Amino acid sequence: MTAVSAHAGIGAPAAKPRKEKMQHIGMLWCLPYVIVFLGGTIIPMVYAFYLGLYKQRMIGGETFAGLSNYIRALKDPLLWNGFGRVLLYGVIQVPLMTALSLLAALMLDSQRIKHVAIPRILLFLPYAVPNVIAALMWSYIYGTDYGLFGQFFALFGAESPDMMSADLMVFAFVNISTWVSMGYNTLIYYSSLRALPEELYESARMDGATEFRIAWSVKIPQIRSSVVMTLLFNIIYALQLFNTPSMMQTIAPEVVTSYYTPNLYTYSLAFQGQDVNYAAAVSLVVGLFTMVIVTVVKTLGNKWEEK
Amino acid sequence: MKFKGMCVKAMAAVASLAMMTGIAACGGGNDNGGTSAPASSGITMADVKAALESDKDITLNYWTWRTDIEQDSIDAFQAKYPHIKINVTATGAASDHYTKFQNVVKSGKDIPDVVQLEYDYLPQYAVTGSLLNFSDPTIESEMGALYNSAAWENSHVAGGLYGTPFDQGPEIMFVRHDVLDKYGIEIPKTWEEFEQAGIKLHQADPTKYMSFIDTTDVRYMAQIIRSSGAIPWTVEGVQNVELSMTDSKVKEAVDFIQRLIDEDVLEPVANKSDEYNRGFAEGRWAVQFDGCWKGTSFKSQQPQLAGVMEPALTPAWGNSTSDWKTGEVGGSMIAVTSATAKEKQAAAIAFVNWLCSDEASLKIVEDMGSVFLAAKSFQEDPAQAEVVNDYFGMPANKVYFDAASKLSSGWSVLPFNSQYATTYKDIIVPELKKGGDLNAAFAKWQDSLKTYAEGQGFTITTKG
Repeated sequence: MTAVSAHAGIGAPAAKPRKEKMQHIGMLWCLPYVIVFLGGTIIPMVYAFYLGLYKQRMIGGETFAGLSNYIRALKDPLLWNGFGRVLLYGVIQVPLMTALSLLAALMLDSQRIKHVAIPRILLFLPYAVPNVIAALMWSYIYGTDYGLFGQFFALFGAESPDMMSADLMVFAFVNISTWVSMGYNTLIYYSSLRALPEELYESARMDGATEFRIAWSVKIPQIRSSVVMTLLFNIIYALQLFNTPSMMQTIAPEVVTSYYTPNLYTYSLAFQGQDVNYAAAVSLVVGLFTMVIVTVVKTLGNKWEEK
Repeated sequence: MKFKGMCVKAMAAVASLAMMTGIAACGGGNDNGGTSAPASSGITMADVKAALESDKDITLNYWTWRTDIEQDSIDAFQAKYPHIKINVTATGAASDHYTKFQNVVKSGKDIPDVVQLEYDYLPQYAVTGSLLNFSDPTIESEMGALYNSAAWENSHVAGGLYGTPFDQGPEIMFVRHDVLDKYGIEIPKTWEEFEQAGIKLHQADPTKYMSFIDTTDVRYMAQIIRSSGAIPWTVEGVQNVELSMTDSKVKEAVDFIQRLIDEDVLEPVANKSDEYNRGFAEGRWAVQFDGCWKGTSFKSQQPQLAGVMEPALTPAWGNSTSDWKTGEVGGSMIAVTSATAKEKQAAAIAFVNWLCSDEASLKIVEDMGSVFLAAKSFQEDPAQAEVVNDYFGMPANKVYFDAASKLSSGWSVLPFNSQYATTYKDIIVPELKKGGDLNAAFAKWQDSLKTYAEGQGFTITTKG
């Protein structure tokens, strides 16, 4: 459903449409997209809304419930608890990863690195690791007794901090997803930077700008649209956090509750609580909330791009 | 790049919805409006026998997570009755098994004819009408005579019969001799001895604990409560449940669990985690509690501990062994689903009964060791108790028989077992720590279950 909002702001109406003969055949070109969009987004959304109107009980069968599932979802403290957590996570993770990826992309693009292909592929490599594997791997590393963390601190005779405790778990997730996705973002920034014409830098250098100044005042503003795009993706991704907490649930169940993130809550409701109808209502509320945030960020992003 | 990335993210964004619609498509073909057990299938013992002798070709789809134990028996069945073909689907881990089964039940499509279920999971599927009730006077008397009566009873819900019992899971304390011997500790016979032994062990070596309490699975904590004789709930018929999770006997047991954690006798640990696996291999915990079937897993996963481990009875409550009660973890039955076509039902019943009680099948399973079969011919065979288990190097069955004979009575399974297991992790597990307040969490747990169950149409009363 977030796809809707991701597309909503794109293609602001041209100032003055030229009068041309309408070519209806053009609409055919959109058909594949329209079909996938309808089948993959709109129909499931409508269906989820329909499901959310019913209530299925173990004893007593199915009854029409009106909007009660939606009202309950809006007031559900467990859902808001999860939202609070992904917001905290997003506020830390998104800026951190954007900054790190930008820095890495600028370094790759600085032309001061000899075999640039090597760091580039190394940075990108973690992205090839599936989220689930990454979560498993990091859970070993975080282990306080047998993990790398534990072993490292033991070298100095200290007790390692428990990354998988209630206080630090959010940071553990920030670390894992930054590790996984930084290379992907770096690659997007790097390819945008490579597309910039050399002349821009040359004229800046002629004017006596330092490399740092060039990066800050020339390069970054030029790739604003890529930055805004990745920001949107990363915010959506943060709000939809699911894979890593779901994995960690078996390792640190005392921290990762069934409602740890909104998506995990939806999943638990549907697959463990067997309340598909309420889960459908919750997933729509989650989608709506995501849309609102994405719209706000997109509006701000547009302003920055137009500057 | 941009476009592709956009597509991927867009797909991911709707994935949660797509997932939901997948499982809910066509919203449950089963009839679950009833307040009593669904009507019986009308099949008699004579029909079941005829199904084996007929020559009509039938294919049965069977879902199980224990193909390692059952496959040879299934092959033997097909060899003997070639007109019945068994299409086995190995569902992976037990937890995945239930998710997969739940999904097909909800969608009303591709439901297997025959499915393995732990007793804990039977009521929730029985009350929602997903299973076939084949209770019939001839079946009850003739087939029922083949099985241990408690296991046979466990295959029933509110008077309906839904499958035949395969094995039972009397809870066993698997002892690490190497650890206990090193610190001169005897195998504890009561919980009080267990506590003293644990304090002594942890003082001698602060990296060691008497045992652990599983933070991923409610059953292990529940069995400690069960061994005290407390009854936290009773279930009557299909929809009446009385919760007494805060009554004085439960409170006493819960306080004791909290004390064991506070004293470093029990360590809260997520079973199956990497830390657990390594800790287990190193002997971090002197004993481990589990259903007797766990013996087969030790044999395959911890071959280096052969001869070092030994099964023993779980401790008796308090300081005396005069009223020794044991609990049960797992143990499963093989059920027939209500989606099974009418003409296949008799054959399906014949198959589950054969697998669970025929001598040829039992012989194959017995040889694996540590499976405590529910069939009477196994349990009443005096020679079985003397069979030396090659992994433990001792007659393990003798301990299992003893444990099964001490099973505490009056314990029942909640018909909303999944929710119970999930809320254990949400409400109880965060308090399973030193200085936690387990009893307060139990009160919260009871309220949460009450709200959920009432929403699901159950009639809930609370006591204590």
